[in-house]
Amino acid sequence: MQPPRRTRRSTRSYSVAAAEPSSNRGWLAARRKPSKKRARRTATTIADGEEDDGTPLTDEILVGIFAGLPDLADIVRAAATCRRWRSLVSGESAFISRDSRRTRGIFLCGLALGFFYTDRKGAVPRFTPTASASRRLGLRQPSLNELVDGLDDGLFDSSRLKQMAAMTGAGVVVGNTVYWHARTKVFGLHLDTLVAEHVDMPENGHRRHNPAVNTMLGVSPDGRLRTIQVIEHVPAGLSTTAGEQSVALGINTRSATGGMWDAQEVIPVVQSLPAEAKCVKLRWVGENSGGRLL
Amino acid sequence: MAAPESGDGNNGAARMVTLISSDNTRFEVEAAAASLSQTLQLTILDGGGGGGDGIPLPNVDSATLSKVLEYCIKHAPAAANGGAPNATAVDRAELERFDNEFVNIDQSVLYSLIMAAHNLEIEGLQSLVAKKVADMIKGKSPMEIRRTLGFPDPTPEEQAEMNAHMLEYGWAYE
Repeated sequence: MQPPRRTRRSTRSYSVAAAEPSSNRGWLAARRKPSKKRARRTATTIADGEEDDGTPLTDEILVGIFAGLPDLADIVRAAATCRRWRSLVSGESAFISRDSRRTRGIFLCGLALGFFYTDRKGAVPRFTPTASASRRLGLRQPSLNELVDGLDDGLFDSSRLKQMAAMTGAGVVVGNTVYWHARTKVFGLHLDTLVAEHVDMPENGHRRHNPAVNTMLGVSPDGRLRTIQVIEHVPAGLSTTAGEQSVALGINTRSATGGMWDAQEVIPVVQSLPAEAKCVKLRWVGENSGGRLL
Repeated sequence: MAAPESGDGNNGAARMVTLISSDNTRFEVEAAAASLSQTLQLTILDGGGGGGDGIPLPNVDSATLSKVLEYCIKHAPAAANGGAPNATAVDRAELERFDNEFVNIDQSVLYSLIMAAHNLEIEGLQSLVAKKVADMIKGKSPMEIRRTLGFPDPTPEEQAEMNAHMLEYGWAYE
């Protein structure tokens, strides 16, 4: 006899987690509808010709197991095993990856959209979406899988892929363009046309040791791309106290015509840092209200 | 009628309840042990399962139920101590050893155990068996996972999908 379908506490807890608008999980998450199918489906209802994994485990149990996998790569490999597991992993990814311990992997946001690449140095990058992003976004662009078949020039060797994939961290959406920051460049991607662009980061003179940690992308109140960077030394005229470091935030807003950056705005931070601090992490406090140091 | 709380079983004679498996085998067990199941706990708190009545469990067969109760009896004392603040390191090590041994079982038994743990809502057992399956998946390729968990052989179509997935997420296979 099959177990009766029941509402359990654990069902609710992961449905809630999956339905939560997750601001730090990337903008794409909001496009996905929470799966209603999962709650209904039990081991008995999938025997009707659809592929089954041959186990009696319900979706709820499987999702719980995936959530307990220690490594993101394990989840990805599990998703490859069969359609049912794949749809579970993609449908419940918000719950499965809610645990922060896995975010230290190659991908910061769990979902890779695709890759920027250039065929020669200095050229405007092109963008290739992954197959799953193509499906989700309804793109007509050839996906990575199809391109790989036709390419044999070492473009997609693993060493380069990793570096590109690392850029898929938190992106910022301005209008219908999404921007990622990668060291000295900002990569942009127009979502409707999939045309890529790149802009040099504004010069800040004294950047700290790790520009990726000390820089954020944002949106100005009037809807323009903006960068916020930590400046190590406060420009002349602003005093520093001995034994402490003073920092300031340099804010650059991209000019309305889309070309270069407007003149930098410098905001000194009132609170000083201990002298030994090497690294400052910027976090958003509120949309449109500018960056704050936490 | 309100029954005494199950955790009080340490004082005086322990209260017993009877559980009846799907194949009509009767199991008599301390209420404190059965109460590790959140489903059963409610019934027991309402005074059910005592005397000749018994609590029928139509979803759990006797082999699985005896295995489940083996776990509950072992874990009941620690659970009654409320997370066992006075448990010694030896006690904890013994429970851990028991748990490791406990899930060292055939796959079919493991699956029945998983279903029973979820039906009966035994939290500790749920995470124990889920972890066991996760360990079986960990570090394996999709094909190895399928073999380990006893999936049917992939159709050519599924095989092609698997290969495509591996191409797309090459970094996960290094």
